Amino acid sequence: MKGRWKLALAALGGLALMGSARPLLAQDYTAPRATTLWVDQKTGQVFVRPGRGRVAMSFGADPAQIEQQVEQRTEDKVRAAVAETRAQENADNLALEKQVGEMKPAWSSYMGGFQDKIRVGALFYGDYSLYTHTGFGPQFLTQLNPPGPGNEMYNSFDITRTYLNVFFFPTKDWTFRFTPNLYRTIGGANDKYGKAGAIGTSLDGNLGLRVKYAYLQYGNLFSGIPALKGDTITLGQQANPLVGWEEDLYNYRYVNLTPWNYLSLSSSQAGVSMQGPVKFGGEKTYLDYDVGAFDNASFHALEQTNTKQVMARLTAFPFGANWRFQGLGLTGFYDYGYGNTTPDLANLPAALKGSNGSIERIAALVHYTTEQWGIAGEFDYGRNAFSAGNLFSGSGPADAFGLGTTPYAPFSALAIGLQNNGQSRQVGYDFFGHYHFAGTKLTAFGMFEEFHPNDKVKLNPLDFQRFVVGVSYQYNEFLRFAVDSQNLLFYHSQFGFPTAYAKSFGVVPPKGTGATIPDAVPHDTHAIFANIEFNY
Amino acid sequence: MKPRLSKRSFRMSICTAALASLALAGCSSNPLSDHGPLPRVADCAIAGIGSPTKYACGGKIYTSFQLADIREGNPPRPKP
Repeated sequence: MKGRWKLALAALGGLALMGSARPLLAQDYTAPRATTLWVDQKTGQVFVRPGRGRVAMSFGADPAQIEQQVEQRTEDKVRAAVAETRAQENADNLALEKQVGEMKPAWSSYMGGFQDKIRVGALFYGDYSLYTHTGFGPQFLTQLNPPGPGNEMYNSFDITRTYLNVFFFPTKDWTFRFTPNLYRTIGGANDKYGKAGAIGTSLDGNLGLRVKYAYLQYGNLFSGIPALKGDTITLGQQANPLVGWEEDLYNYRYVNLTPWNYLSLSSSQAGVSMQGPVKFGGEKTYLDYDVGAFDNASFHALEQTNTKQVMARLTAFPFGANWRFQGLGLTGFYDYGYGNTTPDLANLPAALKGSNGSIERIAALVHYTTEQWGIAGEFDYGRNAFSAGNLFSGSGPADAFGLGTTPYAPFSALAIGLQNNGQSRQVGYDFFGHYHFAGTKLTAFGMFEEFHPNDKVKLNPLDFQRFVVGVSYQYNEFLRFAVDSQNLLFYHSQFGFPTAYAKSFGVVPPKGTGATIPDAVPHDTHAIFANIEFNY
Repeated sequence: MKPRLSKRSFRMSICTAALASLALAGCSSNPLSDHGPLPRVADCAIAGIGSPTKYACGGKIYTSFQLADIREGNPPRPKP
């Protein structure tokens, strides 16, 4: 009974409490206060009210103080955080400013890298020539065309080569070369203009531009083969394996042409080739090669054939070469190709097949080169490799060009027959060299060539000797001058070529030609040159 | 009879360059003599004519630009 009353009383109390309970709202929250008691200092008793002899004693933190301290600490932390953030921002801003300052505009960055990928150079050959004796024959330099016999003391300022060499290296493995070249345009017909008018051709004698080199070269094909490392493969219009190499060996291309280039082999063809040194460990070169397949047409003619010509040069240095031509070298060159004629014309039967038949050229050289002098000997052999067109590349009788009939008509027919019959055989030999006079800027140089354009002829009036002798002056690294004598000698004594014998070679003499073709030996040509080379 | 070049003019054309070289080679105090810091381009062999031309001097290969810099006392050019 007593327990029940207690239980009921507790329940009533709980209900009362719950009924009077209200939600504790924030605005109703009362912050805890510090508790203050009074202590009697004599007795140590603690009282809840102040009194005599009692001192106050507070417990717990003053809320205001707590709040103030909390605020202070918070402020301190915020200040520290802000300071740290500002410091970081300053550092970041400095770095950013520096980056911005170093940042280049896009075009500047492109150009800065581009200048390492492109190279431009120039080459110029010029001369003044005075011909004490003019005659028919091959050109002494590219497109030098003096008049024929009887024009003594003819003289001329000429530009024989002008290159603008542009090299582009998009990557370290690839090279693109583009080289336009000046040349003298010859020919062209006058043009009818309107119903009754006409204008003269402007081609004759003008200096025009043509492309000498345009090729891609790849230099990493043999990187896995140590002996061939650095060798290249070249595609496009390029220097052939012999002429450019021999010009560098000779050193004086700005004065005169090298042997096969003088005779008939153009210096550049379109094709594909491989080249480079072969090293068998160490730095010395023991073999140097260049091999390729090319159009039968030269770089300034239209390809017409359904065949191609192949050329190969191999140079051996028995004792090793420290640089490109150093020491004793043995060089062999072989060229096999065809005349530049369309197949339908090449297959036609003809008495003179020279321009349609196969062509062969061989050169064998022994050379020795030091830093002060160099000397070389060369043997040349060819088949159908020297036509009447080559013979008259400098100057020839009008009859040979179909431009009229002159007293040279029988001689012209003889030359065409002996050289264009498709069975001609060429044999020749050459010597060339240079010697630098120590302590001076002067170097003496010379070249001698003896050539038999068709050694199947018992006494060929076209056999000739060519010699060049001169001295050069090296003004600086980019500029050279030379004074020299250049001579073409048809060295047989004059005679009349038997007409019947001429016909056995396919010669078709003009009507009225007697038992001999008179004055078969051409006139000599002699000239004094002053040459200049600028190479940058 | 094929007209022959007179022997006199033939010999003169041959001798022109030879006399010039002989006369000048012995002179040491004239513009044709070579002076300047080594290596000098006139003392070098041509290893390849191009853009630029390469010369072999004392067993080393130099470009025309490098020899020009040596002659003019310029600092070596940075490699690309």
